[in-house]
Amino acid sequence: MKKILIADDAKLMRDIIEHVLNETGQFEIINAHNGREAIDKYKSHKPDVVTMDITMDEKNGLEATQEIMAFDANAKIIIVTSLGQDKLLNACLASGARDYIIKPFSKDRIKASILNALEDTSIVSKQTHRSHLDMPIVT
Amino acid sequence: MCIQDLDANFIELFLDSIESTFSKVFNTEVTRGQMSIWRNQLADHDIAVVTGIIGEEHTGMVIYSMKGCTAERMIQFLDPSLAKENDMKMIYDGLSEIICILSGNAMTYFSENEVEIDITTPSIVAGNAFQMHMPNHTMLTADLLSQFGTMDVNIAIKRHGKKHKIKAA
Repeated sequence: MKKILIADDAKLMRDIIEHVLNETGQFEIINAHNGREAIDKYKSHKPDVVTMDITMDEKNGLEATQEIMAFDANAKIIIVTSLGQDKLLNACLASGARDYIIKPFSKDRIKASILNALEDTSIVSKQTHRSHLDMPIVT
Repeated sequence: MCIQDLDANFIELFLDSIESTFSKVFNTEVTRGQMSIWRNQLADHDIAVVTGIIGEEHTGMVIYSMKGCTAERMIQFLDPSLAKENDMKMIYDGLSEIICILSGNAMTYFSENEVEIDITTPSIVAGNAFQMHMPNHTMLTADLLSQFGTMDVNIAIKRHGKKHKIKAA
């Protein structure tokens, strides 16, 4: 089974993502409550993909992404955030994140992003991401 | 802040964003009720979520208020397992995340319209029959009606021109 690390300070969001991924029966889920824990769990569990929130305690998602990428240049990190400003998202992509998903997102969107990351698909264009903003969080 | 100081255009855009994002989060229809002037007291609500707005041209505050059962229904819809735990801390945690999503999307919406604002992380006030007083703020209240109940969006945003820089001591 592929391991997915879900880093988000909100249990609601961790539960939603975990529920979506459990529907596929393909993944083992590991949870992290903040950026510091995400880094520690990445090093100890070596997950195949990380979903990373931005606004978190201890270390934020951008800092955690940078530290994980410094530890493992092949890490596959997907930013999952409410913050959609271009400047921030470009910074996330520049620091090594493969994709970003704006909350609220659809089930299909997050599944596709994780599968793409596992298949090592290159980054999708920003315009494609923004088209998913019209999708509800629960479909 | 008096009623003349409120930036009506900004408030309208902000409410459009909140309404649209709320609808997407819950995949449900939202209706905006009549707007009214907030008179220092929340209407029979158990929970208030307070956020601040800081921008180059705007400052203000948004308070989302609702009954406890409305918040529970919202969280139960998104994550039934969380609501089953019957732990109000978990309800508040979930509500805080929802408000973060509303705030984040509003910030993006304004950024795309070349207005940069930051919205502070939410603080939650909860209890029976509490009162909130904002002596220097006049707020407009818009009711957002959905299948979960009514959520009031109490909003005071003032346009003050150029960025206000705080001088070092």
